[in-house]
Amino acid sequence: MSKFNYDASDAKLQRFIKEGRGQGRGAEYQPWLNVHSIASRGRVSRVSGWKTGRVHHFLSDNETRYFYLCEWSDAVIDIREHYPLMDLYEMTDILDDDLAKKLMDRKTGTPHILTSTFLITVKNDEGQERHFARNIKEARDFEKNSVIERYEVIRRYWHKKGIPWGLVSSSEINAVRAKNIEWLHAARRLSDWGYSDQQIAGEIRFLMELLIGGQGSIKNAIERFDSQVSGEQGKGLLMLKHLLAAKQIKIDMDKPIDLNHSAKSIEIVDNKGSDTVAKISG
Amino acid sequence: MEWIKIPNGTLAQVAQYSQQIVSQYEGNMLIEALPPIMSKEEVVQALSSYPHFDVEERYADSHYRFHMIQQLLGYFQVMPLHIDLENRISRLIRQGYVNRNPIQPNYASQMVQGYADIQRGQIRQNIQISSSGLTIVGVSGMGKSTAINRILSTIPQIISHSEYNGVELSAYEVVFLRLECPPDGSIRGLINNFFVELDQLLGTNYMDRFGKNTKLSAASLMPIVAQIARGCNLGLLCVDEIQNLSVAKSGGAEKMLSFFVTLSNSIGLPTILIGTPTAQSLFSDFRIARRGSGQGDVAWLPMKKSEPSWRLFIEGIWDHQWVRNPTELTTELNDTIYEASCGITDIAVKIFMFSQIRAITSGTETITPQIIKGVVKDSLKLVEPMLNALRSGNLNGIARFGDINIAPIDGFIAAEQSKLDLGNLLQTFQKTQKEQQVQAERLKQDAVVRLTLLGVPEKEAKHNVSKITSDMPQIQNIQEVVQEAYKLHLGLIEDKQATSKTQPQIDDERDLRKLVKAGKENGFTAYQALKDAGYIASDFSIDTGSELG
Repeated sequence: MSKFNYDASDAKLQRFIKEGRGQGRGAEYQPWLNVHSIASRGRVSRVSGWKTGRVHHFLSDNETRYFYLCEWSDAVIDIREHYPLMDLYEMTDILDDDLAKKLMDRKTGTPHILTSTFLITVKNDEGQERHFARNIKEARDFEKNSVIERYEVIRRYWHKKGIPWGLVSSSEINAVRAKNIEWLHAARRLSDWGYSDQQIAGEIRFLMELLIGGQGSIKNAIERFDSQVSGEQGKGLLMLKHLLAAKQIKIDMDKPIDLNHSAKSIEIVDNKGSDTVAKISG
Repeated sequence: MEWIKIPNGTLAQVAQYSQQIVSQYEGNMLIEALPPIMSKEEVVQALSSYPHFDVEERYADSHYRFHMIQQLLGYFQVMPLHIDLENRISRLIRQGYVNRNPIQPNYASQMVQGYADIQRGQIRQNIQISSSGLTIVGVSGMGKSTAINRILSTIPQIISHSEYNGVELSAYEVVFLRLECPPDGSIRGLINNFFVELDQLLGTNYMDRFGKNTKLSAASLMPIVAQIARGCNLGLLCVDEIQNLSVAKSGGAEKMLSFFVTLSNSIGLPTILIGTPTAQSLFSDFRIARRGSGQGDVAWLPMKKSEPSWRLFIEGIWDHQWVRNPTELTTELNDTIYEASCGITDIAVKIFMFSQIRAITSGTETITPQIIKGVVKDSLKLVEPMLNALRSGNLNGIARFGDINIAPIDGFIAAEQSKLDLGNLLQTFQKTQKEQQVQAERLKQDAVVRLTLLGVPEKEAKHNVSKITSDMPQIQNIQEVVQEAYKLHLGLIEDKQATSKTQPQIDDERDLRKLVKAGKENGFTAYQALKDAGYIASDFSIDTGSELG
């Protein structure tokens, strides 16, 4: 038997709603779709998020990459993936007949729940919260009428809500940067690795000194750290990732991170500030 | 009785020779080793099978009783027809052996003849030996195969001969062999069944040697089969489901029939052919083919209501009621069950079983004509056309439905049992739902009271509370309900009107469908059109490069 049941049924819908899917925010939010509820056309992944502290579900590499970019941006404070447009049914006045047809399962009459791949919450300099919605799709899929019709419904929905909405294809996603973020993503919280902050504060300072004063490559600094301070293979690399993830040091994230580069390519950030602000279009 | 284990085969009975009363059978070791010829009383004794029944069992829990009722499938009531059949089979086997006596010279010459046949790849007819056989035609579900099986089970299948009258020898006697006609009706399939059955009995490897040898055609296998049958002193070949021949590939039926005829005639091997009325035409052909030899046919018709057999059958089975309030077999009940089953034993047994199960699940615990009718309506849909044909008495109509398999029993029991479970479940469900309603009502009342304490007029409080509980059913907590309702009172919850006031007009010029269409007309891809219209978002994009982008 197939794992996935594509048939829209009232029972399934009610179960989803009962489970609280699509409701809440931050750690409480549950995506409408998760990696179990639908067959992925690409590669699924589940990532524990920095902003939300919960596990995010992604159904393709593009979704995952876009997520990493959001994680990196200091302006972003909440990421809700696979956000269902639940109250769409209360605003059918925004739809013409053609579009309204897209909302029901033709066979069963069960409502289809449309989703935006991301609903992102950002905080601007004045501390005001704003939202924007995104749908991630391969550019070639835009050629399909059914896809465009669906996005027109979604566009109208967000337009009415007054929330900027836009489409993102793989061309808009900086894959190099996303890969770099992915590489260091898990090192943000050292407690995940069994280290407490106080315990390694000294070691971290030492690694930073090695990196600043380092003559050789980043790799050399890490190796010296491992042999002189920790005595553990790999701890130096983890600490480096942590420093990058915590933005205590800075490296050009738009080029593939190469540990053979000179340690001089690393910058020390003194004051942690919001140096990354997402430009919101749409 | 002494038994010997055949390597890789089954158990064989060590031959014990008995004095024969019939002079024709004297001096033939194959016949003398058979069990004595049974009297009528002995046949009844040997064939009957009644389920274990104890009145106390009626008080067992329903789920145990379902299992007890299941035993009725093994119910076998001996009827005059069965006694007749046993008599015929007993005669057939012995008559077949009369002309095949291992200590007679013609036994050896038959073997030599068989070898020559194999070399030639053709069986030469030997007309001196008269063959005998039996055909049984009957509607599905009358217990043809069951009867044959029960009769054959009274006879040892293999007898091992090692010494007869001081002469040492080594021979098996396979008294009978049961085969089923392959569904495709092919001769090869039947011959392979023959090999496989014998291999299992005797531990031989005929299937590997001949059955899997694709170089041997079906025609050249026939003398081999005949010789093997001779060699193991096969006494009776019983071929069931013979109606499969009629749907066989072209030529299959005729060839197979001539094969049986050849087998009977050349080595005098008696054959019993069993089939449903679908095979009627075949049998008439077969009879013509074997014209001249006095044969018996048994037409196994559904029982008539007035027949003593039916009375015997239905009264015998009626004693096995596991319901708490057993009833006498009234004329009405008898008529109902007869009408429903048309006198077909298998259907009658199942109706009786189903009725008991329904009587138990429904709680009436007694079999009534209404229950029987209900069961028939619900579970005998599949066989309905067949029964209608029987009622009309149209034999051709019956033949068309000859192969219908009678009502599946497992599904019925499962369905009845789930009915029982569902009954309980629904009751519990209704109960909890009622409780929930009561609770919700109490919650509303309490919330209204609290709101009035907060200074909300009672009418408005009631209105707000019911609005909150219907709009946000997830809120079960009274505090939350009060809070939300109070917010409503203060106008904190914005009504939809508020948003619709600021609702931007639908900007049809920005319709994605139009944009993409217009783009296409100008030779742009959908992506390009959307990008030009500003719908492709470039946050965190490569274009911006810098962090501030």
